[in-house]
Amino acid sequence: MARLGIAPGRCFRLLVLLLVLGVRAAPLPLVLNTWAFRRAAETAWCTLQSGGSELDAVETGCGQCEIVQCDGSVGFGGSPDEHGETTLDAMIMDGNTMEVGSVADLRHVKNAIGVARKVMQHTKHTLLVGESASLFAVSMGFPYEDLTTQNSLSIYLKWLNQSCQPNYWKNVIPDPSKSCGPYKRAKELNNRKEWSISQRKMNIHNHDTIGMIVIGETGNVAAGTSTNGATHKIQGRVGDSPIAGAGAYADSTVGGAAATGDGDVMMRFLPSYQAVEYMRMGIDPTIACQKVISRIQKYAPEFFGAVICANTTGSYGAACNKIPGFRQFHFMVYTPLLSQPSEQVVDCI
Amino acid sequence: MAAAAGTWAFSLPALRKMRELLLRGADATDCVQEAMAAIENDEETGSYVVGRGGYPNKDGLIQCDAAVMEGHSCHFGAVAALSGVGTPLAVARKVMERNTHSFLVGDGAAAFAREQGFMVEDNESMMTERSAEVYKEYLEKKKSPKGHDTLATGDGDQIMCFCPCFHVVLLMKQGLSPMDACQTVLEDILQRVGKENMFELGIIAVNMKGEAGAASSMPFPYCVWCQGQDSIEELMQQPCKL
Repeated sequence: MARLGIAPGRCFRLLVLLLVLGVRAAPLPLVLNTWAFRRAAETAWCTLQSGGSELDAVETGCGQCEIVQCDGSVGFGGSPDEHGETTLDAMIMDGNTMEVGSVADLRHVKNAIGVARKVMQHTKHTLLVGESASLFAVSMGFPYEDLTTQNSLSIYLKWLNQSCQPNYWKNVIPDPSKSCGPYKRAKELNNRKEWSISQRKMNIHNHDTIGMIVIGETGNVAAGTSTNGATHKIQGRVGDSPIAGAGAYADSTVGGAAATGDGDVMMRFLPSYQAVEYMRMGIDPTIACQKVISRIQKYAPEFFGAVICANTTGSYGAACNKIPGFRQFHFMVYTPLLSQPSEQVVDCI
Repeated sequence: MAAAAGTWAFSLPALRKMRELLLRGADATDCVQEAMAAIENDEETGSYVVGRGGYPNKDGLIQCDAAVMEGHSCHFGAVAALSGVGTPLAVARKVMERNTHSFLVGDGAAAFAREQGFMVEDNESMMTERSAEVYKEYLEKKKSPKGHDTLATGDGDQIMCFCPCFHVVLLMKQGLSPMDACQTVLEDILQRVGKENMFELGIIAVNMKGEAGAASSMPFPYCVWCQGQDSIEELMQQPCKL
């Protein structure tokens, strides 16, 4: 207890709070986001309080994380790819109209979720990628700038100095576990099953995302994500965050959900869509999140990931997969019962 | 039990190929890749918005999207905005098997394809006379103030907001037949967006028993084959009414 720095009294209060909020319906509006990104929750709440829509709240909340570079895992100057460049993925979804706007592999533009919103508002498309997405952003008035900082440059140089370890290559020559590229394919695969999802080394230290759900006073649901992806990723890699149903999902007849973790694996299971479907059947949000996690566990027992979800009665929940180094998942909640955003913790299953 | 299904009538030759390969005991993923490659790389089927000879984007480039998934392991690979490769699904498979990521886009996807030994061709060789003509028409329309700014409106933009394939699989897991699962998902979406705003959507599904089903918002031809059947069924799905 002492080592964790949590006093027993506080634990008890937290438990009571969780019981009160988790089981019974909480008053709306509700802001819920992944990780202890307090400023994001605060900003989204302020937007709602000053008359902004749920979509505005998601955009400004996640946008705040892009500005303050939450944990280095959102926004510019973090998670350089294997060429040292920071690229961004983001999406936003309107649970009333089921419209989605998203960008992936976005380069040279900082406000990824802002661009995603413009994709939704000003195009008939849903997902734009790469340099073409940057050109679209510029046409919408976003500044085109360098996303590299001293910090991302030093992460990149350090990685080069340690023979590009870790990286995401397999079945190529030279041996990717010992040397840098450029790589070429190895002649043939010695064993197709050689690589399994469980061998991945992605963890809390090299990847997370802001995912946010906002439910307005009248039950309108919006959700969104923003991330700079996996550190040292292969050029062109896109994770789960900009994929509707994977990174986030919103449906004003039910609620919303968002996921964070190893996007390469999580995008195969559409965890956010499934959490919303479970809630549609009347399942409690916490149980819905747990069912989603346990379904992925069957295929990838050691995946790194967490899911949050909330329904339109204001109930919310979270769940995560327990692996070494990741036993608890922190997330932020803001409701009218609280005078400030509350950081909550869930034990992984 | 082996079974296969494909969207639209132009999947018929692919189904024939798959039937032949499956009966020879080939791996399901190999079958999909080989049969799809023939369609992707064929200039004739380009006009159906697949691969070589397809419709260029607003900059005159042919870019392809493809995905492949294996059900037993839940392995998945995808590429998007990939230029210069006539067989994008084969690249998606390489992403699944040889890359620890699942989804590569743009120049990164092309660089990966090159590393994997695919020939990355220049755009001209991906274009057919028809593609070039369509693009020329588009540019001319753009010059005249009356012209529309759309070249080929993909309903994929709207479809991807509803994760319909995932939903069908979830419903089949709950015990619905492929036909009922497809119909339920389509009706859900139709109810959601309203009849007047409904976009073109066709869904097909096959379950582990080899039963097939479909649903659509427009007349939708599709092809099905199941082990034990001599020939491939060419079916027409009539649009769902609400």
